[in-house]
Amino acid sequence: MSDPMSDRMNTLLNRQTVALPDIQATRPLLWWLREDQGLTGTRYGCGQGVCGACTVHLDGEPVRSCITPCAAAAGRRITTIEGLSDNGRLHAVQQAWIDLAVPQCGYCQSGQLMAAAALLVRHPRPTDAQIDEALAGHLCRCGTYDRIRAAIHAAAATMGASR
Amino acid sequence: MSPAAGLRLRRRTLLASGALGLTVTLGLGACAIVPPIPKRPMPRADQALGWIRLTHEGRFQLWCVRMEMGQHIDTALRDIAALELDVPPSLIDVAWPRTADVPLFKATVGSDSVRELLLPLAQACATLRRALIERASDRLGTDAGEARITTEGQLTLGSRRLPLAGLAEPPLTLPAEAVPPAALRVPALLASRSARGTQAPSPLHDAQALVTGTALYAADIRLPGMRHVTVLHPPWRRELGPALAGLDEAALARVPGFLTLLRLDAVDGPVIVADHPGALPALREAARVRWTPPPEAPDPHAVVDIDAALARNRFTKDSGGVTEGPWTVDLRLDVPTAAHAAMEPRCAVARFNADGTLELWCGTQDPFYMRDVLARDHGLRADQVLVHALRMGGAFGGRTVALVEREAAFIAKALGEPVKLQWTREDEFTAGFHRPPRTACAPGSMPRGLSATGGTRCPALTSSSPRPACRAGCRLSPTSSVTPAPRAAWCRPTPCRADASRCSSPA
Repeated sequence: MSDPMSDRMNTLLNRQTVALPDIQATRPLLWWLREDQGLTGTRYGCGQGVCGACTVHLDGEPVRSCITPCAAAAGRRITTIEGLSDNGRLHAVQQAWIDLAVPQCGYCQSGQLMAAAALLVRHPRPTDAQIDEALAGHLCRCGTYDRIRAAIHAAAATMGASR
Repeated sequence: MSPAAGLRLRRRTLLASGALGLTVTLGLGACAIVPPIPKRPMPRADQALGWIRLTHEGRFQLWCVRMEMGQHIDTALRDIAALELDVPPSLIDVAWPRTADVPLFKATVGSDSVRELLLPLAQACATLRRALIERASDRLGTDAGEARITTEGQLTLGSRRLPLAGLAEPPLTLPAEAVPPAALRVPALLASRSARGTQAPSPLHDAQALVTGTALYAADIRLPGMRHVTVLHPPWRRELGPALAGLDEAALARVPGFLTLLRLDAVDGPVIVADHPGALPALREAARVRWTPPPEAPDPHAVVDIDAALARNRFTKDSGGVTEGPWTVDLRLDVPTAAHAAMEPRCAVARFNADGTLELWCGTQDPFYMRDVLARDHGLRADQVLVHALRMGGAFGGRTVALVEREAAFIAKALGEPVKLQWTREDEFTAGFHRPPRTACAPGSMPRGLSATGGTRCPALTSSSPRPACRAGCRLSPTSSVTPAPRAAWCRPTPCRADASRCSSPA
């Protein structure tokens, strides 16, 4: 099936059409991604939608997959950290994260990256305030916040230069 | 619990001796246990010979004998090895060993890893490099020219070269005698870098994995036939005697994915077994577990009441004497219970094999301690327990004891199937161990000779102040007794009422 919108039981997961089993409908999206799709880059942090570690994109918008039922993804596009790069080419935020050595323990970083990528779609040249607002609720116990902010600015510059 | 039972306080006569600081710190059964860190020998050069080797592919493999929890020790050790071997870091693959792969090593705590590992690792790398050059010299029939290892994995001697892969066989026998520190390359190279002060940070060894979601944590492990379990922990420590009042077993049975409910003596609460982790949130909710509070739970605030401790002359620490100084200070710090609160809720995967051996996958600061605890729990020899230690999503000192790991092993044994147990965030707060609350009181005087204008950090005042207070950046100034640094909201300085005569401001 090429158009997931034509069948509400399907979803477009990282550019691939995938069927959503009925039994998963009320379960959190996080566990379907991790257990059934093997996409373990999306992390479980709190299960309450508070920490941001489980963030994925649903039709381009960041959502907390630990409190999003699978049914909410039917007929929509899901992008996880594994799908952020395209054909092996890193997204600008991923490259900036590497260049600025952002991650420490790394556990929160998938969610941080997904939030940052979504932010740059809305605000191609975000201000510090816009970064802080977009990433509020994405917790990093290692305290990488300053490097995250710098990396988002760097990614914005890269993306702007390539336009 | 009486204060005497809950405290391990040393009786000192603080005020009589004019001591500088005192601290009341304790292990509270209700909220905290402080783990003992097993004593381990310092790493040695002969052990380090087993950490680094040349592979058949002509690359170097380095066992990282400290666990990764965000400090990038893997990158640091790789760089040390690269400098001493004189090879590009890209030729070195870093991996975390299983407990069967290397001799016992120390727990990963604090920031001692490079300090303790640099010398033995560099010595091992120097020994390996010498052996490789010697073998190359023999095979090429020459020892003329400077030896060099290229990015492409070639060892050159003068104008002649050999692929490193060809030097791996037969296995090298390395002399146990350590290369003298003075003959190492690393110390001078690092000193030179430090002196320049402009060295760009090394690329992180695992950066690509961390930003693409492929870095492996314990929860990412999947085994055939694995069950997913969760433990309904009581909100009080088991030693205090909370009683299970009930849970809704009929409701559990109605949740898709439910398999069974276990009650194990070795596990603090009922265990729910499911066929999918996505079923566990609904199962925990459906269980509606109810507990009867323990008959007597201590009030942590009462136990750390420093005024009461002063009245009894019972403290955990007191040290120093009040010296003459240009101005006096008075410091009281009340530090609340602190959860380690790593981003990754702890997780363990356990499997008993057909031969009776136990395998465990977990994120731990001390895989050998984990091995020994599980061996004791199940009456196994140490070599019958294999721990696969994985990177941790933060630890902060909170992953030095066996908690979720013991539960997972007991459940796997009872089920006869491999299990994955990942604690919920709720479990982290109710069943983890936390830094206990404490109060520190530090009356004293600023020693002469110290600048009164720039302020000085707490350790200059006293060694008995609790370290968390100092880490928060409390600074002393000449105009007030304590100026808390910004963002240290929990660091609540108040005058020390216990000894108002020493205070620079009224109590």
